[in-house]
Amino acid sequence: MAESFRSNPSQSQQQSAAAAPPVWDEMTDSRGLIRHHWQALSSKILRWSTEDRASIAATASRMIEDLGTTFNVYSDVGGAGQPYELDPIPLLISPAEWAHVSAGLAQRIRLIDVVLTDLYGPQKLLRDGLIPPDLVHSSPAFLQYSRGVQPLGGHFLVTSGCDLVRSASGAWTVLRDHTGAAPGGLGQVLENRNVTANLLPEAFEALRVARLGNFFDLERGMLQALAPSRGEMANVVFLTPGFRHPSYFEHAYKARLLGFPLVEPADLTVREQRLYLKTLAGLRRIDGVVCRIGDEGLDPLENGVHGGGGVPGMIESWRTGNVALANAPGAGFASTPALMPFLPGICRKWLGEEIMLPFVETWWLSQDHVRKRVLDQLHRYVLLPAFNRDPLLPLRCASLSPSARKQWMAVIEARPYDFVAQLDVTPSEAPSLEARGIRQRPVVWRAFALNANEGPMVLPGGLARVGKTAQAPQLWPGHAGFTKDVWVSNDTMDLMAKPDVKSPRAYKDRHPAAAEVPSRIAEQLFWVGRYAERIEFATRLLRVTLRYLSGEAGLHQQDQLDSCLALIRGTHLVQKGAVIHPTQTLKTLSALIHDQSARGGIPYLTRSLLLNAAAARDRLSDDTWRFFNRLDGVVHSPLVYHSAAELLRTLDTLVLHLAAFSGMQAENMTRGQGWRFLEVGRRIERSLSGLSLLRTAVQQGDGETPILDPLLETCDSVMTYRRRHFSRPSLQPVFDLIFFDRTNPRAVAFQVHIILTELPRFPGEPDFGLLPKIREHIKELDQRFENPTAPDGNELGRLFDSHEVFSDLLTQHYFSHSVRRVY
Amino acid sequence: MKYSLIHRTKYTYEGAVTVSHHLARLAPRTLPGQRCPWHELEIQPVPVGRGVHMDSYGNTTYYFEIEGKHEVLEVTARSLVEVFPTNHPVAILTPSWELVRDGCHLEKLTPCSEAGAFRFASPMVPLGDDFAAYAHPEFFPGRPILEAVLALTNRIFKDFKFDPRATDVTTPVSEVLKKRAGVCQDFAHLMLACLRSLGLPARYVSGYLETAPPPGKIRLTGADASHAWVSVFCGEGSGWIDTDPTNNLLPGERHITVAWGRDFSDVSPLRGVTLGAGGQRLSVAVDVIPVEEL
Repeated sequence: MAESFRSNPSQSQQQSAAAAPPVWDEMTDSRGLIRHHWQALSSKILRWSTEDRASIAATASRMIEDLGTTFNVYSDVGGAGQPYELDPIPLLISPAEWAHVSAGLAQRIRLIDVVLTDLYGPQKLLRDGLIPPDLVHSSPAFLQYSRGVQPLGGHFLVTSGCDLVRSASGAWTVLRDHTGAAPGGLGQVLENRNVTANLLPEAFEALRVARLGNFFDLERGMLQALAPSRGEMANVVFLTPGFRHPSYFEHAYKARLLGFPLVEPADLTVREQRLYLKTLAGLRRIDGVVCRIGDEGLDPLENGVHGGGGVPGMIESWRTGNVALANAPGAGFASTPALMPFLPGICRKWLGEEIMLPFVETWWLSQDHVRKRVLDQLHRYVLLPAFNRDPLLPLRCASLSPSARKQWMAVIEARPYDFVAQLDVTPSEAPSLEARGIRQRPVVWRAFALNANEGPMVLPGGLARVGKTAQAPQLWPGHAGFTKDVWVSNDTMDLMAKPDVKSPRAYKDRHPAAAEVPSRIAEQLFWVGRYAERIEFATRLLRVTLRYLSGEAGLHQQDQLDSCLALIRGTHLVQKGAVIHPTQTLKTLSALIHDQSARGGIPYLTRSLLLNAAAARDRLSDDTWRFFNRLDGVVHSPLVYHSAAELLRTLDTLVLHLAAFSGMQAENMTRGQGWRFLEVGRRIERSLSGLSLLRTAVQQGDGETPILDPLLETCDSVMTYRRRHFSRPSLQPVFDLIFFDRTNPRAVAFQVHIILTELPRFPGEPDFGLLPKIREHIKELDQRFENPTAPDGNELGRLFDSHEVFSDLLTQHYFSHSVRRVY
Repeated sequence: MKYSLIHRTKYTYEGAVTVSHHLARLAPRTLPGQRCPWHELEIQPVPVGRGVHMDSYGNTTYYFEIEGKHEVLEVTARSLVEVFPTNHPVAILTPSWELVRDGCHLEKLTPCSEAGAFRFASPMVPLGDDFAAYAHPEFFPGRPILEAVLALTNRIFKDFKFDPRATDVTTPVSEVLKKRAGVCQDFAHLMLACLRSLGLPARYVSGYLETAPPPGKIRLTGADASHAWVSVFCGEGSGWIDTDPTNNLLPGERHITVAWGRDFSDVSPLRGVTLGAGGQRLSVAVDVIPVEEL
């Protein structure tokens, strides 16, 4: 066995054509008997009727959809997010198999870490000839700036993933290692577990499936232990590229589970070679970062070619030992399949052990003697990029035409170091639930390991990816797709006996930084508040307008409809100076409600709301998020023409949804700083709406005008007005109610007063930065309501601007951090 | 030859910068043929954080941060350098270029295969058949490597026009090859692309060149500039040999080496990321003063 891993095809009989049965059947053995560890489950799934199957499939997809709406950013906003599919029948792993595979994976993460530590250090492996120097030299994933760095915590590789296929002879065999920033799928494992364990509770209990909770506890502890303690618990953050990333939902889920704040590069800053999180209270020192950003996006300063995002100075901070990065920059180098054929030799010489897990026959084509032999029988292989540079790869050589094959061979001869050939394998097959019944489908098992100081740990489970076609597994799409849970059954005492994955929320309060809101999140929530209010205002105003248009409002209808249109023109719903043609009114209103392209309309505002909410995703409750998704559904209509009645129905629904959101905000959100900024955003916006309505009313002339009815209706204050005044509305009493009244939740004075009462609870020392100015500004605004003279049009305009100035002051003081406050 | 070096870089920002982070590679290297007894870096405004490390090519690299509003950043590097005369190997006695090429391909780390790291594509230097084709006439079978390199240096010098307006720092090498014009950085990148496309290891060298004032005139302050050239690996016996395609010569006592790497992106003298600025204006002034003149 040992010799077969030498990097030389002539001596190698890896798992190529040796074994007799072409495909391993996971559930049934060669005699047609159900394998022992499948018996509890197979007796169940084989008895499913057509109805059972349909109902299980429906429940599974409903649960995933629920998770999807909770954790996926809406596809319109995120672009890449889409619910993945789950096959509810898990892949079962027997205890004996697990013992072997987990030991093999533990050895592998240890081995790869040793390799990385040497290659980024003394490079003895190259001197000893255990790895060809060109393998390192030609790889763009090998980072020059990581050379010579002693990573805090001691490991280049902290977490890794490994794709395994079962060969025809029954051995789990390594297909690919994942050692970079994102061994994707670890978050998805938990979601799959939640769904599958709930769908098959009896089998889950009967098989004594190993629980996953312990692994994540360990991971949390280990990540915190990477950074040296500065007398308190280490502050660790979870760094994501942002909500546009296809795996964002997974990042959010995982960050919540670990209890680490989910941050983006813009949330971090380096001062004096130390890494800080920008929070509302100032800059908070960060000791460790779970990196889910590719190496090229970490630090623009170290990224030779122009541009590139990231945190300037972060690498310097890492280099000087002020922060731990997991995985370390450059660890992704070991993901190259080109390294695989050299690992057995290194394992033997350096660890003094034989490598435990076999690997799918793999060759790096830069070695002349290897290349010659591989090219002679190219049809047996899948061609892979050695370092991820070629958009045409991977490629199944068996499917190449003779001329295409010749062309590829020429390309390989020209740049042999760019290519890897890996045997075209047929994975084992496991039962999979499909619409027409249970089918045998090929599976690849992605397992995960952790390089803890006390020794490596392997997740007892993982993510099984299901192939839907006969394609070689190397050609399966890299992300999501069809997946299933992996159950490691346990016939002995359960060593991982712990309740299964706890609700992610359970950990939230354990982290010291959890209470501190990152500035960016506060800013996003501030704008969520502003947009939610702006949508509500637009909805109310349009609803009133439509009522007059559809003739439900009786007398003075035309005058009041004209007034409504004047009110609309006075807001940001339409562009300044826009003309609404009388015969086009319904069309204009319809566009404001449904047209995705109309700037300022409700779909536009909803999009802006969702964009901000998406970026603050991990701070919003699942219910709030579902509500936002529903909101988008309401305004999304495929129809071109809508009747007034239809539009009114839509607006009624919207008003109810928006009321539900305000209710949620009022009743369910804790009064933290996140809530405070959302609330202040909402109040500023409501003031602005009131002021713009009043200004239009004043500009339309004094006295009893038809504009006051729709104005009161928009402000939801008709009843109050009627209770106080038994006459047709006139300007002064309307001002009393909509401008001066500190008890009317729709009045301008009320909004300013709320902000004033929240002010003492604003974060930060009261005398620092712009805070005194902010306080003074809002006090001055509040003073205005002591003076009983109704404002004229000009003053209303000034008050409007003054609110915007206030909004800017908050931005400068809390969100942009140009002045440093370290704590 | 002894020199006093002053390299002043001044950034003038449109709008105030609140925070900025920088990397500088401005300290001359210490080499068998070069000594740097003294070096200092003066930065205005005064940085709040600074550090220094050797990068993976052995270049001294300074890191610094500036905090607080500023509209101007001025970095002045002052050094004393002594450069010794070089004994260039006899070109026809160097090994054939194919021998050097094949020696880099070893499966074990040796001086040759270590140099081999510099024969792959790098961020600013792609490989390609057109580069190989351009160099090919000079690299006929069995030709001693240094002879071929000198011929290529001469060809680039003759074929390409020195024209600062033809390119900027972002112009790709492929365009330089088409335009037949550029500055020292372009010629160095082009020559690297040619050599590496033939499988030969070559690296980018940044530094300075002493320019003699016209006869009878006095030296103008700030008239010199930073310079770039190429170093080629010529086999284990001869090692790395520098060549300057911009001036068609083998660097001697008038070339001062600051840093080397795969291409400009590894050695740029001053790089920064600023927060808050709109645009920026850059002015650089370099003085290479022979110490006898002082």
